[in-house]
Amino acid sequence: MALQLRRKTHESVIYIDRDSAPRIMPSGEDFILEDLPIGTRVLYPNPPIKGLPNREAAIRYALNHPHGCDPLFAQLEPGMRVTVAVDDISLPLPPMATPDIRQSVLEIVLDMLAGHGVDDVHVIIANSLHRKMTEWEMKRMVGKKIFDEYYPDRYYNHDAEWADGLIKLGETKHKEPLVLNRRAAESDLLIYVNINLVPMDGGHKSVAVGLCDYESLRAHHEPQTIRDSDSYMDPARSELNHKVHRLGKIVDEHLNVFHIETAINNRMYKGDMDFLLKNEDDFTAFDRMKFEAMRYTMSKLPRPARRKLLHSRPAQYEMIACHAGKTEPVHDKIIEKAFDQYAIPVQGQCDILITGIPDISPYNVYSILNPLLVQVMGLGYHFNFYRNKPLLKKGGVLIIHHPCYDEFDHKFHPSYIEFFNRLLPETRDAFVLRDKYEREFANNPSYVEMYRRGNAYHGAHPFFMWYWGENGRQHVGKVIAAGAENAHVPAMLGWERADNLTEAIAMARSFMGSSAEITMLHQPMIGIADME
Amino acid sequence: MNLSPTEIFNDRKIFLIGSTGFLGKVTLSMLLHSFPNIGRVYVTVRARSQEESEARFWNSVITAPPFDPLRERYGSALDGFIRDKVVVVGGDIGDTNLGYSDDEAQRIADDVDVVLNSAGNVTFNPTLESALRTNVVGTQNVIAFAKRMKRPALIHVSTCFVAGNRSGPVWESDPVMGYFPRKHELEGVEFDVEKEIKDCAKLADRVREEARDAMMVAHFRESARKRLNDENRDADDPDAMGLAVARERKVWTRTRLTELGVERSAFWGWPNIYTYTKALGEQLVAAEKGIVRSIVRPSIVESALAYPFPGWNEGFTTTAPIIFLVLKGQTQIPANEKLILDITPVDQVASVMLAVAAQACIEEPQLVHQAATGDSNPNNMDRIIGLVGLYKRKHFQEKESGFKLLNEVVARLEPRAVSTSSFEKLSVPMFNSAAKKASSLLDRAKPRWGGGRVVEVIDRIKTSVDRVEELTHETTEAFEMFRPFTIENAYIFRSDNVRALFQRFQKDEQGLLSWYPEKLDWYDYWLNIHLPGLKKWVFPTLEEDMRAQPKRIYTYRDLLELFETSTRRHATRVAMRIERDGRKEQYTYADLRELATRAAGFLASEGIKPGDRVMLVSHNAPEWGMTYFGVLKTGASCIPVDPESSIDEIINFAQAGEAAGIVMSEKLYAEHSPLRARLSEEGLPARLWTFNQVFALPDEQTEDARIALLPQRVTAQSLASLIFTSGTTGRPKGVMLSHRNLTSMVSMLSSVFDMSTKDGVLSVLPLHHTFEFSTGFLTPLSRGAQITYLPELTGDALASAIKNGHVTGMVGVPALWELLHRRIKNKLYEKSDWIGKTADAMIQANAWLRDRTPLNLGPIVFSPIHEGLGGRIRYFISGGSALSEKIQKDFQGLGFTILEGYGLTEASPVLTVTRPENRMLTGSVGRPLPGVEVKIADPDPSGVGEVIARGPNVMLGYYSDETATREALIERWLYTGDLGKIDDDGNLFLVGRSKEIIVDTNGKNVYPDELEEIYLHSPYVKELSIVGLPDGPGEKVTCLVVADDEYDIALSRTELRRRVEEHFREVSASLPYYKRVKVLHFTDIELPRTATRKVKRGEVVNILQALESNKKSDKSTPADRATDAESRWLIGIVANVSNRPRDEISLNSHLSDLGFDSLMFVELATAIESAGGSISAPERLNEAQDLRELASVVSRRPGAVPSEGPSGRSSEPRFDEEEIYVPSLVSVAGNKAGDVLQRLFYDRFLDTHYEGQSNIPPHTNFIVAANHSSHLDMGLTKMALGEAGKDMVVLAAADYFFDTKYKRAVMENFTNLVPMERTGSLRQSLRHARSFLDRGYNALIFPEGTRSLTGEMAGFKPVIGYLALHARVGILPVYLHGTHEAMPKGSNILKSRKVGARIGRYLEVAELEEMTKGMPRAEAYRLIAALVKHQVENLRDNTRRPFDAKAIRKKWRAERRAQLAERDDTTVMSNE
Repeated sequence: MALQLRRKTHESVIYIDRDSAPRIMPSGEDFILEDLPIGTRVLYPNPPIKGLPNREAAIRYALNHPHGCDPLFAQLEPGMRVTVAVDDISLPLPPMATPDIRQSVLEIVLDMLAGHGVDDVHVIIANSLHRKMTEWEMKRMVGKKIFDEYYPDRYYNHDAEWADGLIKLGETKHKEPLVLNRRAAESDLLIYVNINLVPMDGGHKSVAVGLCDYESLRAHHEPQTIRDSDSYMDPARSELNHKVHRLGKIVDEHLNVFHIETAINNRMYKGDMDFLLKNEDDFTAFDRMKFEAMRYTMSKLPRPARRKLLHSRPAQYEMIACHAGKTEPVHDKIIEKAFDQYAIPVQGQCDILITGIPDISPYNVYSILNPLLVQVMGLGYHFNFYRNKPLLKKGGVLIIHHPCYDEFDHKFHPSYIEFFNRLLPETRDAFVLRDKYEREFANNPSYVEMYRRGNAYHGAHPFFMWYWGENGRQHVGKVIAAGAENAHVPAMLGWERADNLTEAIAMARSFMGSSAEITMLHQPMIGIADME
Repeated sequence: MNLSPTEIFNDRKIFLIGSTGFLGKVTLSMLLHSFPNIGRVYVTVRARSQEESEARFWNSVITAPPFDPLRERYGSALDGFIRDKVVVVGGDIGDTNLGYSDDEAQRIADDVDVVLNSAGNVTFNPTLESALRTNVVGTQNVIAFAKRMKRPALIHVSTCFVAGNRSGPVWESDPVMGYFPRKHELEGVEFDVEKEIKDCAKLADRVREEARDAMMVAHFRESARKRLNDENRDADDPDAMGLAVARERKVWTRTRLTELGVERSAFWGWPNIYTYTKALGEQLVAAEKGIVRSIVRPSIVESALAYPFPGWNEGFTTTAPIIFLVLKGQTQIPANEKLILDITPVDQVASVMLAVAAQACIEEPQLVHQAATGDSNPNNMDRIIGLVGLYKRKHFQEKESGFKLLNEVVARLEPRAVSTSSFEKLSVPMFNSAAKKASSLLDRAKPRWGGGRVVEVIDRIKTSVDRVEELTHETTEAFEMFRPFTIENAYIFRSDNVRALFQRFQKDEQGLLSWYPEKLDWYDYWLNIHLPGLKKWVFPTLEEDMRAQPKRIYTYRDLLELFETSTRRHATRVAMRIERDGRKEQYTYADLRELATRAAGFLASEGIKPGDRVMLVSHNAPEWGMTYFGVLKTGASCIPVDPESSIDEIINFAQAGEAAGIVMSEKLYAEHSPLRARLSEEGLPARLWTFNQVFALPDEQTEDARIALLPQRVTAQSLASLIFTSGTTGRPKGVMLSHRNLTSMVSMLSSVFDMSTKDGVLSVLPLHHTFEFSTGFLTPLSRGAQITYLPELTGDALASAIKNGHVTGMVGVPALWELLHRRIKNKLYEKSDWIGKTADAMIQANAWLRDRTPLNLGPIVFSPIHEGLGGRIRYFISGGSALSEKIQKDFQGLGFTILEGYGLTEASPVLTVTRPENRMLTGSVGRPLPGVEVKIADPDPSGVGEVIARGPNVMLGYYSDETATREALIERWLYTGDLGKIDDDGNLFLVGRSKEIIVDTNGKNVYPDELEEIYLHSPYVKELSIVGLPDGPGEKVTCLVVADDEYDIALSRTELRRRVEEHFREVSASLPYYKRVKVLHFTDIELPRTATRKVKRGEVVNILQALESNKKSDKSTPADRATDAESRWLIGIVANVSNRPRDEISLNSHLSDLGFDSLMFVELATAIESAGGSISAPERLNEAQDLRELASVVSRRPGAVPSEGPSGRSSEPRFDEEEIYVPSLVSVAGNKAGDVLQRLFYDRFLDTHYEGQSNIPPHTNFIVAANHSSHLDMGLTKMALGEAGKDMVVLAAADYFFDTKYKRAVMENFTNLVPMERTGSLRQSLRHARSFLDRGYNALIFPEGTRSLTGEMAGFKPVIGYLALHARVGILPVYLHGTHEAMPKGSNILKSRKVGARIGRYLEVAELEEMTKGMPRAEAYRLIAALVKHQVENLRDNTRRPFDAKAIRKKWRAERRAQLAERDDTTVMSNE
C-alpha cells in the first residue's frame, strides 16, 4: 500500500527546476518552446487508459446490457419509427481516425434495426445551432455504406430554424421552453449516439441541446448560467448542467430515448506526433528530432497550409467505455470513466495560469480559430478544466499564447465577424450584448439562411461563445495574450498583449507579485484539475 | 690556508633548514655520509607537532633514496646512527623564532655552529604573500635566529636567477644590496629591500580591503551560488553559503595577489615572483654585516651526478616538463639556440653548500657563491635539444609496447628549436586555439534538452577536445614560463668564488666534497644520467599529473547533509518508484524527506537517541531508504540486515550490535512471527516495529513534538552503518562505516559515474549489500536521479521495469547479467537460427570496433534490444564477483557499457572500477577510485601480492573487536586479503583471495569457518572442511566430510553416509540458500592439515575437484538413469529450466551443478505446477540438492502428460532445419483468405449453432476455455465468438503444430496459433501466452491439453489458472458439441455437419481471485481449472450445479494425506 503523505504530488504534475527542459506550447498553428520560471507547476494529461480491445463487441454488449431499460433489440418492433441522433463534428476534436466511433455504433444499431424489421429510420446529426456538417464530413463520420444508404433523405443535419421540423414539448417550472426536432420527438424510439470527450458532454445535453431550437437554447446558454457554473466541466457544480437536466426530464416524459454513450481516452496523437503528449524531460533524441522536423516544416509553410496540415491529422482516441440505456444511469457511468481518465489531483491554486491555445477547438473544425474562438478556448475551456475550485486564484492572471490574428472564416462564422467588429467595440458586457443584440443576430434573415442552407454557425452562436468565457472573465484579474501579432484583437477582447511569454510572465508578476505561483497547462490538455 | 672539511666538521653542530626538499635531502645525506664525525645536525621538519615532525622525518625523509648510501654503509645500524647525529626539531621559518619558544630557540642557537637555510618557495608564480612568507619573512626569521648564536654564521641558499631579466656574465662580486635588474634603465631609482617588503604588505592589505567591497562581496556570492549548484549542494543553506563565499574571496585574493606580484616583479625586472622574492631574501642576508654569512646561488639544480647515485632526481625541475613534452610528441621547442641553459647536478650544489658551511665555521666566506656550470662548461640550448632528440630516438627504438613501425617513425621525429612566432603559429598554441574553437562549437551543437544519446556522444567528443585544450594550454604555459630562461636571458653565471674555495681543500679530502663542472661530459650526463633519472624518478609522477583528472565532486560532511541537500534541491523530482499490488507508486524527494522525518520522529518518540543502533530488516522498497535516513536523523546508526536472515541470525546480530530497536517490513514480520517472543526470551532490549507503525501518519501536533526531539547535527566521523558480514552463530564481525566513509564513497563514485537528474537506476541487489547501498542508493539520491524498486525479482518484472522505469543504469551481480544475457540471446535465437548467428557475428564485429575506435554501432544495429531495455541505458555496473568475459564481451558488442568494480564492505565498498570508456578492459577490475590509494603489499617477482588500500572510504574498524581491526587496518591501510597485481596504467587485476571467503555467482559472501561450525554438530561427522569450487563466474559451497565410523559401529558405511546427508539437509534447511552446502563429498582419509592443525583448504579443493570429476564421469551409468515415467517427466522439466541437454541429467544430478540459483527455483516451481505436477512441500523445494530429493517433494498428478520425445533440450539443436520464410504480404493475404474460407465453411457448409453469445465480455479481453475433441474446435470457437474471435490467439501444442518447418511456416504465418509446450517447463510458453493477454488479445486454450479420443472431457490443467491469475484476465467457458462426431481424433473426413458452441457465464478475474484468496498458488491454479471444467460440464449438461470449492479442496487434502502416508510407509519399509 502506498505510504500516506501530507501533501502528495500526482505524477501528472511536474515542477520546473533548474535542470528542466523547456516546454512545448502550441500557439495557433505553431509550436513554441519556452523556458518556464523555476518552480512553475506544469499539468500534463494523465497517460491514456488502454482502449477496449474490441470496440464492436463492447458496443454490442452495451446494447444487450442496458441500464434502466430493456435491451435495444427487445424494444424493437417491425414497422416502428426510429430516429438515431448522433453528435456532430464538434466531437471529438480533432476529428478522429476512421472508422469513427459513431460509424461503429451506427453499423451495429442500424443492422439490428433492420434485423428487427424496423425500416423507418432516420439518422440526424444533433448539431443544434452549430454549423451543419458538409456532405464530405457526413460521409467520413458514418462511412460510405451508411452514407450511401441513408443520405440525403434519411441522414441529415438537424435544422433549428425549420419551424415545421420542430415541435414544442413543453417547458420546465422555471419557464425554460423545450422545442425539439419533430422527427426525433415523434419517433417511437430515439436512439442517441454520443462521444464523450470532456465531462460537459453527453447526458441530457445530447438530446435537449443537440436537437433543440434557438429559443430553447437561449434559456440556458446565457451569461448568468455560466457565471453560476463552477465549473461547467464539473457536472455536479454546473448550473448549465442543472438546467439541461430539467429539460432532460421533459424529454424523458415525452420520448423513449435509448442513449448510447461512449467514453474515449485522451490519446490525441500516435506515432509521429506522440511526443506532444510526453514530458519534455523524458524526450529521446528521436522525439526531439521529430519535434524539430515538425517545427522546421511548419516554419516553411504559410499559415493556411499549416492549418490544413494540422487539421488533416486525425486524432487517435480509443474507446474506453460504452454504456447504453436510460440517459441518467448511462451518463453517470460514462462520467465516472471520464474522470478516471481526466482527473489530476492538484493541491493549491495558482496566481498565474499559462496556457497555449492550439489551433483546435470544437468550433473551428477545418477552419480558422478566430479571435472569439481564441477567447472561448482560453477563458472558456482551458479556464474551466477544474473540479471543486478554479486552478487559478480569484483575480489571478491568465496568460494565453496565441497570435490572435484578425481572421474569420466567412463561410462558417459569418455572424462572428459582425459580433467582433460591431458589437465588441461597443461593449463586452455579456448581459448587455444578450439583451440588446442576441435576438437581432438570431433573427437576421441572412444568418438564418446561411445557417439553414449553408454551413454557417447560427447567428446567435458568437454570443454563446462570448457567454462561454463569462465565468472565466469574472474570475480572472487579467488576461495577457502572449505572442499576439497585433494589438487590436487583444484590446477588443479586453486583454493585454505581450510580445512573448517571458514578457507576459513579467507583466503578470508585476501584477500578482514576484513570488506569484505559476501553473501551466500542457497542451493538448485533456484533463481536469481535481482541486483539493 | 688549506681547508680540511673533515676537521672543520668534526663535532660541529649544524642547523639545517629545508631538509625535506630535493637539495636539502641530498645535502643532509652527503653531510652524514662524508662527515660521520659531525657533532649534530638539527633538522627542521615543518609539522603541527614535534611528534608529527619526527614521524614525517622518519617516514618521508630518511626512507628516501638519497639516504641509500647511508643505508648501505650502516645497514640496520642506520637508525641508531641517525638518532645519534640528527635532532629533529619542528619549526616553521614563516613564524617568529622559527616557531620555537624563546628558550627553545636560544637553547638550540647556543648549540649551533652554522645555520644552513635551503628552504624556499620554488614555485615560479605563487601568491605574493606565500612567496614573501617563505622567501623573505622566512629569511628575516632565520637571520634573527642566527643572531642568537654565540658566533652567528648563516649560509643562505638562493638562486643564480635573482639576476633577473638581463644577459651577459653575472659575477659573484656584483653588488647585492639595492640590486634590481632594471637598475640601468630606471636611472636614479633606489631599491630598498625593507621598503619593498613594507610596500608588499600594504599591497596585500589593499587587496584584502578590496575583497570586502560590496560589489566584490556580491560577486563572490554569485560565484558561490553557482559553485554550490554545480557541486550539487544547497545554495540556500546559510552555512554552506557562508563558507562558499569565504572560499571565493580567498581564491580571488590569491589570484589578485599573484597578478600583482607578477606585475611588480616584472616592473623591477624579475621574470617571476620566485626570483623577485629570492632577491629580496638575499638582500636581507647581505645587509647583515655583523654576522658570518654567505649566499649560495645554484643555477638549475638537476639530477645527481654521483651522490647519492647517478641520476637521482625529485620533483619537477626546470627541464623535466619540457623533456616530458618532447617524449610525448612535441617537436617544436621555442628556444634561442645559442643561449646557455645553466644546469648543475644536485650533488655538486650540495657540495658547494657544505663547503661554504665548512668555511663559515672557521672564517668569513665570500658573500656570494654561484654553483653554476655555464662559465666553465657551457651547455647551450641547441646542444640540449639535440641530446634530448637523441634520447627520444633511443627511447622509442627500445620501446617494446605499441606498434614497432610507429615507434620507429616517432623516434625519428626529433625536437628542434623554433622561433617564438613559428611556435605560436604552427605548434601547441595553434592546437590550443583550434581545440577552443571546437569545444565552443560542440557547446553550441549540444542540445540542452531532449538530446538523448546525442548528448552523450557530444559529451564524449567534447571531453576529448577539452582534454586537448587543457593539455595544449598547459604546454603553452610551460613554454611561456620558461621563456626567460630558454629564449630571452643569455646569462653566463660566474663561479670564481666556488672554484677558489674548492682549490683550498686538501687534496685527500676533495673526494668528500666535489666540484668539477668543467669535467662534465654533457653527452654522458644527459643520455646516461639525467634523462634516465628523470624517466625513473620524475616522469611517472608527471605522467600521473598530466592525466585527465577526475571531475571533483563535493564530499558531503555527513549523510544528513547529503539527504537534506538532495531532498531540498530536487524536492519536486521523483526519487523512488515501485509498482505494488498492481498500483504504481512514486515518491518525490519532498515525499522522501517527509517520510524519513516521520520515521525519525517515530523512532525518537520511541526512545531512540543519538548513539543507539537500529536494525533494518526488509527487502528493497522505498521504505528501506526512508527508514535508513530516519534512523540517521535520530542520531542513531543503522544495522542493515539481509532480509533472508533467519530468526537466529537476527537475534545474533541484535545481540552483537546491541540494537535498541528493529524495524521490519510487514512481510518479514509475518514470516518471522516468533521473533518478538525470542527477543524477550533472550533478554534483549531491542524493540520491534513494522513499517506500518513507523510510517503511520500522526496528527501534526504529535509530529511536531516528535521532530523537536531530533538532534540538530551528527559528526562526520560518527557511525552511520554497522554491517555484519557473517554470523549465524558465534560473534559476527560488524564493519563500522562512518558518515564520512559513505559520503566519500558517494563523491568518489559520482566523479566516475556522471549521474544527473536525468538518470534512473533499477535497484535489484539487496540494499543491505554496501555495493547496492552506495552505488544504487546513495549515489543516485545525491544526484537527484530516480530509483525504481521491484516488488519481486523475476525475469518479467525486471524486463518490464527496465523498459518502463526510466532506467539508465543498473547495479548487479554476474547472475543478473547472465539472466539478462540469456533473455537477449534467447530472443535473438527464438526468431531463427540464422538471425541469432548473424547477431553473434555483429556483436563480435561491434566489440572489435569499440576496442579500436571511438565508434559504437550497437545502439543502432541492435536498436530493438536497446529500445526493449527502455532505450536509455548508459551503463551496467557489475560487482560482487568476477563477471564472465564472454558476457562482458557480448554486452560490449551489443553496444552496452558494462563496468566492473571491486571492493569490500570494509571499504564502503568500492576500491576500483573500470571507467566508462568505449574500449573494454578485460580481466581487470579497473583503476582505484579518485582518492583511493591501492597498492600491492610485498609483491612477488611477478608483481602479485596482497591488495591493500587506503582512503577516506575505509571503515572505522570492526565493532567492539580491536584485534580484528588491528589485523585488517595497519597504518590506515586496509588489508583486503585479496591477491592481485597492478599494471602500468594502474589497473588492478585480481588473481585470487588469500582469505577464504566463498563468493557465489550472486556475489554473496559465504564464510567457511562459520559454516563449518554449524555443520560440524553431528555425532556422525568426524571432521569436515568447507571450500568454494568454481561455478561459472562464482563459486559453490562444497563440503568434504569424514564420517565418524566409530560412533555407531553397527551402522553400515552407506547408512552412516545417509545419516550424515540427513544431518546436512536439516542444517541446510535452517540456512539461507546461498549459505547451504550445495555439494557434499565423503572421504575416508583424514583431512590434510598444517603443522598447526589447520585444515589445508587448498588441498581440500584439489581432493574435491578430483571427486567431482569422478562423479561426472560416472554420472550417466545406466544404473543411475531414470527409468520410470515419473523420473523422466521430472528430468524433462529440469532439463528445460536449466537449459541443459536431457541426457546430461540423471536423478543423481545436483541442482547446483546444473546452475540452479534462487531465480531458477522460482522458474522450476512454476514449470512443475504448470506441467501438472504438484509440490507437496513448496517450502522444501529449494532445499533439494539433487533430482532424487526434488522428486520426493514433487508428484505428478494423474493425467499429467508424460514427458517423451523432444521435451528438454536434446544434444542436437531443437530446430535443425532452416526455417521457411514467408513474406508478410503473402501471410496477410493468406490470412484474409483463410478468414473468408473459414467463415464460409462454418456458416455455410456446416450446420452450426451458437448459444450464449451475450455472455461474451466486451469490456475486457479474456481467456476462452473449451473442451477439445476435434480439429474443428478451434475454428468453431472463433466463429462462435464473432467479433471477439477476431485476432484471438490460440495456444496450441508446440509438439504437434510446430514440430516441422512446414507446419511452423503455416502456423506462424497464417494462423494465430501460439506454440505451447505441453510438457516440461512451460514457463517460456506461458510467458509468450501472457504477453498476448497483456497486450489485450483474447486467448483460446483447451485446458485438457489434447483432443479427447472418446469425446469425453478429460481433466483441466491448472495452466489456465496460472494464466488467468498472472495476466489478471477472466475466463469464458465454452462447450463445443458435435465436433467429435463430425471429425474425431484420428479422422480427416467429415462425418457430420451438425456442430455447435455454448458460451457460458464469464468468470471475472476478481471472482477467481476472491475464490483463491490466501491459497497456495499451485492449489489456486488447480481450483480454477476445476471451476472452469465444472462450468463447461454445466454447459454440456444444461445444468446449473453450483461449484463447491470447499468440498473439492477437502477432497484434495485427504488425497494428499493419503499420498504422504503411503510415501512414509515406503520409506520405513526401505529403511527396514
